Amino acid sequence: MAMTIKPIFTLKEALKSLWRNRLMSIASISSVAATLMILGIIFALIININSMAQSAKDQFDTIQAYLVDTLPVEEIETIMTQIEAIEGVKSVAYESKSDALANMKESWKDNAYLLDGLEENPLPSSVVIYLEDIYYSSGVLKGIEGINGIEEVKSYQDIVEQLLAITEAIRKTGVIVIFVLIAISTFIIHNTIKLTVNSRQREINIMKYVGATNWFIRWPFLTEGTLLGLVGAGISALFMKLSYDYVFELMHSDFYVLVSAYIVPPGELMRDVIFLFVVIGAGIGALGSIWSMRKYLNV
Amino acid sequence: MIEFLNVTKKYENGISALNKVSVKIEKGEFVFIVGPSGAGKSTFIKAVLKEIAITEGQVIVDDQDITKLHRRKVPFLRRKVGVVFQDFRLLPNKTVYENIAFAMEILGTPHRNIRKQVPMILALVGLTGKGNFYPNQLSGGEQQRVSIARSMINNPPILIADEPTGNLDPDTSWEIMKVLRTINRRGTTILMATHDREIVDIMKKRVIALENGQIARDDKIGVYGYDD
Repeated sequence: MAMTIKPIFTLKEALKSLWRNRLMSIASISSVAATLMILGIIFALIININSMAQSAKDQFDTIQAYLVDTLPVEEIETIMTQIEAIEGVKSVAYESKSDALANMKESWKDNAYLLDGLEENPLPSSVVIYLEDIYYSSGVLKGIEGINGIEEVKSYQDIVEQLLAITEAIRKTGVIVIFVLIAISTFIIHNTIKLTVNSRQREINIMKYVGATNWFIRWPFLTEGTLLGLVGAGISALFMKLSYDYVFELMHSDFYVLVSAYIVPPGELMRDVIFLFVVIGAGIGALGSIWSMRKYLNV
Repeated sequence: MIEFLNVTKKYENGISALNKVSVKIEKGEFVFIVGPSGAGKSTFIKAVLKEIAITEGQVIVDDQDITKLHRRKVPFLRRKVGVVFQDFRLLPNKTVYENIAFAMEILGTPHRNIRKQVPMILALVGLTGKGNFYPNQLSGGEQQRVSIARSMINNPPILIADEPTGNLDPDTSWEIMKVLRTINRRGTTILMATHDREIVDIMKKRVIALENGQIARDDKIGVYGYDD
């Protein structure tokens, strides 16, 4: 069966109808935009915290055991063999005082010249312990406790655990909040489209008697709903882009140098966000409009 | 063309609107359906249009058993059955031409054909030159002719008219009947539910009288037979 769907005509009709009910249209667009903005913020938070947790995890693959100053070479070697014997240790490496200073200079980058003024190297030598898996970390830490000559141990376990807990919490509440908001927006769009459907009930009824298929009738309303969703998506995408760029810039200013390394750059994130917005926005709109037509099509 | 085999329709409130109705209407016939209000006329028409699902029996339209027709296929049945109502059901914000063209657009008819065929159908119902009028600029009889034109534009083999003269004065009613007779002579099967005694008595066509959901009379050349 041939069916002429005239895209430009349909679009024009949809815009006309949206303009006629502009108050409800604005309400629908705002609700979609608000939903997507909140979704976007939660999404950005999750992505960033994930990335932070990931880099923290990578660092946590190592434990650094700082040695008592001026330890003779033989004793250092004994300590190293002792550590290597602990279950879960992949390898160990010795980091001398000068190595430590060099590493620090490297990580400070542009500010490294500040270290040039030091008369004496204040950094301790250490043994870097590479773990087979994060899983072994607490066992290894316990094993090290009994070894003489180790002054201090540095590990990131607490941070990683906290980060993982926070990520999990944000993800869970995020999903719930997003679902509730999507349901609300769909409902609001459903009401908006219902206004048009009501005003065209007679037309729909006649169309049914002349033998129009349900999809033929649905099409213009579907276009309207999807359009509402897409405009909402556009607005929220613009909002996300501006605010994320702003936050990213802010984090890159001198005060937050340490944090900024973990923040996902806008380019990557915005691609995902825009894709997500378009899909969910159009989805909410389409769903809302199909829902609003249901009872009118059963003639 | 239309065949009912032991058709029963019980509504949810327990009323049976049709009770074991069997009837056969041949191609090209002109049939009146008469009977008091609530006798089952509307239900009969709705069953042909598949607007309702019957409880028992079988309905065949244009050689097709529509008893268990899938909902998605109903639009295609409706394209074979034109419908005219008492209240015309025209779109007030569309012109006469647009009201008729609309029924063709739904089927995806190219505009070239629409422009050719709409004037032809307007001539058939006697409305030549009225294409650019809006429904509220026309008389009741003229509006009903637009509605007939719309129902016939896609050339359905069957035309159902549900009280088509119910809102019209006697003179205008006769004009409508002339149009319907013309359409019937061109080969379209017509099924008309009516309360109009004069029309039924003068037309001398087949009359099926429904009473309490059953066929009370079925005469080849019948009369209205009620005192209104």
